[in-house]
Amino acid sequence: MVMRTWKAAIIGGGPGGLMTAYLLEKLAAAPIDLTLYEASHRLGGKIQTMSFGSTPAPYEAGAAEFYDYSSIDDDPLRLLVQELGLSITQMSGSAVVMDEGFLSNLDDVRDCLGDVAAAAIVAFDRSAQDAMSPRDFYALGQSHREVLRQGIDRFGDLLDAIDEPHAVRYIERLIHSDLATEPNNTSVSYGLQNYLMNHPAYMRLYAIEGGNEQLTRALAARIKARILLKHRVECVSRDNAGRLRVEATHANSTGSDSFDSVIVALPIEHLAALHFSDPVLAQAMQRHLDHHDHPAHYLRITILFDRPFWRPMLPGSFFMLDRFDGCCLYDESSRNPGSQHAVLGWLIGGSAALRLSPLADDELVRLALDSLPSQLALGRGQVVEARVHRWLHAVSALPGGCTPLPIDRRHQPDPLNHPDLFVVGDYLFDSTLNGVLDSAEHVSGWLSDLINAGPGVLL
Amino acid sequence: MIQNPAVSICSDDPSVALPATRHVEQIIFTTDRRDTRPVIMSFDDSSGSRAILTTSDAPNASGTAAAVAAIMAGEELPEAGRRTFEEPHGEHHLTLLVMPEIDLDATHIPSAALRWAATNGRPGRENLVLIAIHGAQIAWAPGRALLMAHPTRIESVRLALLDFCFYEAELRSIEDAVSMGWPNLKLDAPLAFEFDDRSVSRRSELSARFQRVVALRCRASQIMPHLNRPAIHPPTLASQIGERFRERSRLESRGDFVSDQLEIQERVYEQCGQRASDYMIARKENMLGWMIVVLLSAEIVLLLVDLLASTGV
Repeated sequence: MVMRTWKAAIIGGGPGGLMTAYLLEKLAAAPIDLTLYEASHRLGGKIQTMSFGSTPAPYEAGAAEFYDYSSIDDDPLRLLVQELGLSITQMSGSAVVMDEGFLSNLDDVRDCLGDVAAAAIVAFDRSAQDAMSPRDFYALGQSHREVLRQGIDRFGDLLDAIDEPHAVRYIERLIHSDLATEPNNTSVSYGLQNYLMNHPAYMRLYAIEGGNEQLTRALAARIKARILLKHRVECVSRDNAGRLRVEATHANSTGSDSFDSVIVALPIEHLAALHFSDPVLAQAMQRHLDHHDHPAHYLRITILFDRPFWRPMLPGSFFMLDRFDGCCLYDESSRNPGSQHAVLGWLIGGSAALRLSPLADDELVRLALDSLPSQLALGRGQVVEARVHRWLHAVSALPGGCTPLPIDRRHQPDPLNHPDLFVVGDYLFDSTLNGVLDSAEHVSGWLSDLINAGPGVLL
Repeated sequence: MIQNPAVSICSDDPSVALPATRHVEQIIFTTDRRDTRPVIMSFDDSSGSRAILTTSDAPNASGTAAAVAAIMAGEELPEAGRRTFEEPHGEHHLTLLVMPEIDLDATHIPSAALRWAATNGRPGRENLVLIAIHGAQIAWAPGRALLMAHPTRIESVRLALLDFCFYEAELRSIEDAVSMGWPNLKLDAPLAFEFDDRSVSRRSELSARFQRVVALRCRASQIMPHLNRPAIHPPTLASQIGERFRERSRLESRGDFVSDQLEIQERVYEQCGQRASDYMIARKENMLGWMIVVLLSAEIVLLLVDLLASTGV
């Protein structure tokens, strides 16, 4: 009797690929032979913790934080972080710097923007909470319902309905870096979701002590899959035996292997570069891309300073700034309790990120320093080192597409002819790390059911 | 009426309006409705607790000036001030130094004044909480507080601080009462399992302790919604300060712990009451049984006498 083994490939060594591999190995009751292809020299994708050259001060070059939904219901990502034995740091911040004023609460908003603007912000907040309860917020990524308002299908239209221009500007600046796009390019649901995430009853934010990359490192350390770094998958086709064949290039040579199932866990821009030789599958993938490709962009400028000059005025893990259409400034050093470093990271999103990204790093650093309000101007002379990271087309401005599809359909572009090909990605849910885990859980659960029920393959 | 979502009901009494200069306030939290002194705020509890300003001195009078100077130097209140600002006993109280400041970036609460707040004249009570947030600086320890904020914000911040102080003091008094109950509980716990004739005399004592625990439980359950208050959104400075104080002094967890402790005490005394009741019923039944036996015996004797008399023996 020969042991039957299911052979599967995962294309992409980012969080989606690693989470799928980890969960698949955990859930499959039958033996499974996993191969993970990664085009770059490192695993982790959009989760990237880096250090400066002059001093070992860590900072997040990619995904900034994790969302904690555990006050509403089970939070799979929080449970995974716990399961992997990682420590977390809570993150908080409520300040918005607008027109050189520090608006940390409603009293500040009244003082700086006036009573009418404050009342308009409160009214918008109430209507946002009425439109989406914490339970709706929690379930949003899972459902394929859209929060609809009469005659309004874009978040920008919802903001246009507010009469007070200062209030509109405040709300736009508050959420711009989270949206990573302009309000007119995204849905009411996604816009409201990004506004309500500031409310502690909806969710809280946290980071992983020692860097968010601890998560992908811990996952990589626990999986038994064969990891092929610097292997760029060029083509997916079908072999004579009817199995899916993956062709990858490595050091100028091309190799191929056949699999029972293939899981494509790539960001949407890399997915577009993948070739599918079967015209039916190629068409299905094009439809998948057309439905989900709504590019959103990030630009990260991170600066190491002599000392944390902003903290007396702006405590907390982050604050918002009205420059670059609204950006978020992270106190990167606050992620690691007891850290003596002073690192401030600008997260610029949307069209501002796209517009600025061609500029040279030095120019971007200068623009970032110029954006500091006059009260923090003394920091401009305290720069030790700076780094720039560009994440163009990295996330979706409209996760799930204009009209979200049923969950199975999202993960299987051609269920009729290619039921053995799955996709995993944050763009299928909510453009967050929580969303990519939801996606990985769905596919690994589905595939493990097939593996556990089916006869497998004779090796 | 001052509108502040962090507090329950605020006073519209013009006599409690805050003066614009540094001054000391002596505040008590009381349920006494006969007290006619100015009410700063009323609390949302069934006993109708209120924060009452007991300071009898005008803000610019010598007593106040001396008290402010003493606190800023880290000293106890001087004789002149002590008469005006004598810290009352027996009720929750707060001595509050209010410092309206325009240039908050350049001004900090003097360390001597922080020492004054931290000590509170009681050994082992040096648990100062210092919060600096969005321009406001507040130092608090049980019974004493220092508050520095912009004149336009100081009123709402003071009310948020009083709100916190009241519920913290109420929780602390319940914690103290629960702690004091443990030695008695240790002695009383065996009676939850075995009750005998020697214990009968302790029934009223056990009943009083049970009632005391139930009363504490009522008080704890009344303040729990205030300890677990959800965060307000969008926040105000007052709500942010209230949230931070509740977080820093762990009100929510302390409330949970004290509820657990009261539950244990309540179960023990409930069981003691059950055992005492069972014992007393059993004793009564026993007595009735013996009485029946005696009566039946007497009846038999009388019947025998009657029988012997009728037979002519």
